[in-house]
Amino acid sequence: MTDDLGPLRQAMSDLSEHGGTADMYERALLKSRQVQRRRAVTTGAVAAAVVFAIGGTVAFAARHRPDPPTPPASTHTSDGRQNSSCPSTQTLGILVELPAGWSFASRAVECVETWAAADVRRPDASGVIYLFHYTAGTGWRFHDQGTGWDCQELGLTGPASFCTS
Amino acid sequence: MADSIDDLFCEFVRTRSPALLRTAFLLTGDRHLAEDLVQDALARTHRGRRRLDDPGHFEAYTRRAMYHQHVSWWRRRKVAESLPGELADVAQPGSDHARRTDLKLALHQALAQLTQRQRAVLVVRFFEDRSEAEAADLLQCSVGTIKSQTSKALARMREIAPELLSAVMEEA
Repeated sequence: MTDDLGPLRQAMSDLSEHGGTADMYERALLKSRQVQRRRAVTTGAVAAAVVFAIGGTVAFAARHRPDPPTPPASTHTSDGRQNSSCPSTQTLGILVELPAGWSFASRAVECVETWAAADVRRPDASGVIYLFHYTAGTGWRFHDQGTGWDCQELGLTGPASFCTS
Repeated sequence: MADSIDDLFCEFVRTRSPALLRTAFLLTGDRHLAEDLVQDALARTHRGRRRLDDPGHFEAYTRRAMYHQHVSWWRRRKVAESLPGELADVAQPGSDHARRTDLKLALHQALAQLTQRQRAVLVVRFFEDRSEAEAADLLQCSVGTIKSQTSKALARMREIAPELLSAVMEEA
């Protein structure tokens, strides 16, 4: 059996007449402008929030940034060569990227003349020394890693724990 | 000189508002809600009028907005439908006018018991006389969904208001 949809269509047509004939132009325009204004305010607020969030993050990062590569203290050793102040492990951590699981040991960095040596702990609990060198033009730079160096080759005149001879 | 897009929009609203309101009334079952629905849909069209490359698209865009707005409204809030006073107008019992009024009231009550999607499908298919493909495009669903929703809606109507689907057959 198929439905006779005539009465349904007729009833729909009759019922729809109750929708009225209101003039919708002014109402639609008013609503459109309201929504536009609300969106503009929301967009402005979101933009301001983003700017504040980025600004705050930058300011926070700047305040908590580790010490930049330490400029030389410009002290001179008795032999007339330039020395530098001793960098922290934080500073050295910026200069070199350690493999995953490796970390600087808590022991203080050993600085001798223009050289700085830091102990690095490996995941298997063994240690290795990272050696850094300071030059006036470029500051501290990673030089080598190992367990000891010939300090004569490094040009060191003073004693250092990382010297093998 | 060609009319500006704002002039064309104004003309569209002034000429097509009654038709839009009729559809909106069938969707909402309430005159005030129908006006709100048309107002929102027209406002949306107004905001997008410069993107619509042809003013002829105003109506299609507005109707689509109406159907979607209608479904989302009902997801957010349940609104009690009200019968306009003149809907239950007085008619001589047994007259053709009385019969049509009865059917109108039955339809109004029956539509209120359908889901919003079923209601929209019935309005698009049997009031706007759209094909299944057009209905699917308008309601942004598949033709299969239109078919199944139409079938469910008619089955429900048969239960709630059988006189709307078989009155003529009985007379015959």
